[in-house]
Amino acid sequence: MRALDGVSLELRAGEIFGLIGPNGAGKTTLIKAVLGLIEPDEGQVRVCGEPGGSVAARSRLGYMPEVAYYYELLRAGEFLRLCGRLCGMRGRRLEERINGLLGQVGLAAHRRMLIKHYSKGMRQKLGLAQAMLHGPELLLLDEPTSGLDPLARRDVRRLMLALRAEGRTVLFSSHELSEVEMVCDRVAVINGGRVVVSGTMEEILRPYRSYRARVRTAEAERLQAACGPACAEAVREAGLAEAMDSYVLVARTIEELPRLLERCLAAGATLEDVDHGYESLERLYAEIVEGE
Amino acid sequence: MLADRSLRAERAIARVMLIELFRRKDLYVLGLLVLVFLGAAASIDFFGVGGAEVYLRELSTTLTLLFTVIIAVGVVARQIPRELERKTLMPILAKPLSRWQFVFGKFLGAVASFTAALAVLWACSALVSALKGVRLTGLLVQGFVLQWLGLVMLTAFALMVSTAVSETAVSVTLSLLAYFLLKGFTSNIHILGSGASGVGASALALAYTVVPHFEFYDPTQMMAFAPLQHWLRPLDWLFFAGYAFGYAAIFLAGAWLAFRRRRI
Repeated sequence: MRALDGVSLELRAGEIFGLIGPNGAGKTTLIKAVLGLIEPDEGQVRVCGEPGGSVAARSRLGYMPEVAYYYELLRAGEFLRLCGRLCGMRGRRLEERINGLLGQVGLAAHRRMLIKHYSKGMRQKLGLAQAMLHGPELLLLDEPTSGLDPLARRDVRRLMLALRAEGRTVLFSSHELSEVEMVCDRVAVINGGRVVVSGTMEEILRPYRSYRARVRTAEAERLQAACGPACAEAVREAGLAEAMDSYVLVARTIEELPRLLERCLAAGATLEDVDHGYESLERLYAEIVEGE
Repeated sequence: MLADRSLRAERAIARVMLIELFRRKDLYVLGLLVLVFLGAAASIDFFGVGGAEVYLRELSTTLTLLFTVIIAVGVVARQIPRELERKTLMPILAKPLSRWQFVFGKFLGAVASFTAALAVLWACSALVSALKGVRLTGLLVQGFVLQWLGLVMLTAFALMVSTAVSETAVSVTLSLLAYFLLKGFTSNIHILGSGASGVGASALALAYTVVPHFEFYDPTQMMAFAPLQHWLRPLDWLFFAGYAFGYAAIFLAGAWLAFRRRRI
């Protein structure tokens, strides 16, 4: 069985790259291959120019696992001290970094507690802290917001954006598509071990982009007639979504929208709002995964 | 294989292993064993055995050997399978740490733990002997060192076994079984070899040469029957130390080879 097949991805420095796909798609396997925890049968991985899986490569990356299993009988500070020493850190620099990180992820008050007493969210935060400890250039975050409450999720998103602002690269796998949309510069959808589509959010969602206007009128029939045959298809595709006497017009191209609006306004409708937006990543994801 | 001469990463792994041992309350087992030990040693007078000195020395050495073997194997053979079962390995091996450093760190932790256990049990042995008026100073030190060397070899062996299996119980059982079988085999090979000839004799001779001799490091007979002022010659120590460290190095290399390509 091939867990990954012909996967080719290149991450750029200082970007947040989202990896999405259903369970068993190969996301975690891909991350493990980057870490060198499994060796690919063919092909190669390079991390910041170093061979993937080498000690040199791992010194330049931080990894947060999907399921946060850590030494249960250690305290957060002890665990981070272990991680720091494995990364070649020691002394006051290490202690200051540990204190700073525990504060940053919100675990400072729980540093004396054994990890076995931590909640899932607290373990996720500890996972983030250990991944960031040695200031890596690349962070591999496997489902980092899993198990977190909404505020903690927001904090993680802010943290990722702060990391990007520092010039660090983040590879982030998630099932939370809205989060991916919110923070990622580029995205790859992976399914059945293959990268099905990848690119910037703009590139991959362009076919799903739409331009919307909300108009109000009491004369629905006149509005329908005014749209005319030229705009009929756009209206039909997007649906002339009716809510009371408010209508949403959806055009597929930016050129269509003013024509459509002009006719509607001439038919006595009043403009309430103009918006451009995407169909969500969810639709693209569903099409890819269900279509495979 | 050793990236850092100060062994900082290996010592960090060993330290965590000891903290976990302490907090898991495994040391309570040692306390219980000490009580058994003291009770057994004290019972000699209770049974009214005459010339108790030899029995005391043999019993205390046998119990010390048995307990430390169980403790050493119990500690080290669980390490890697349990980390695999609990998935604690992934974040650790994602750090800039070679697999060799991880294996060697576990070995150091195991050596530290059995050294502590051995010291406690030998201290008990010395205490009981002193209370009974038996002076064993020189022999005691030699017995301690000899047993320590044997445990170094056994620990490396159990670590190698543990890298090849995925379940904790299997790893512990296999290691203990192999230890007692190998010890029994090499101790009694002269009986097996007495009637052998031709290919059989050659095979036994080869096995005798290749198979590790754990019985070299069983100080029971020496402790029981050697004169109190008996000292092993420096050449003997050189042989025993070289043999134990040589085999430990082979087993550690085997552990590293098995663990190096293991999918995590």
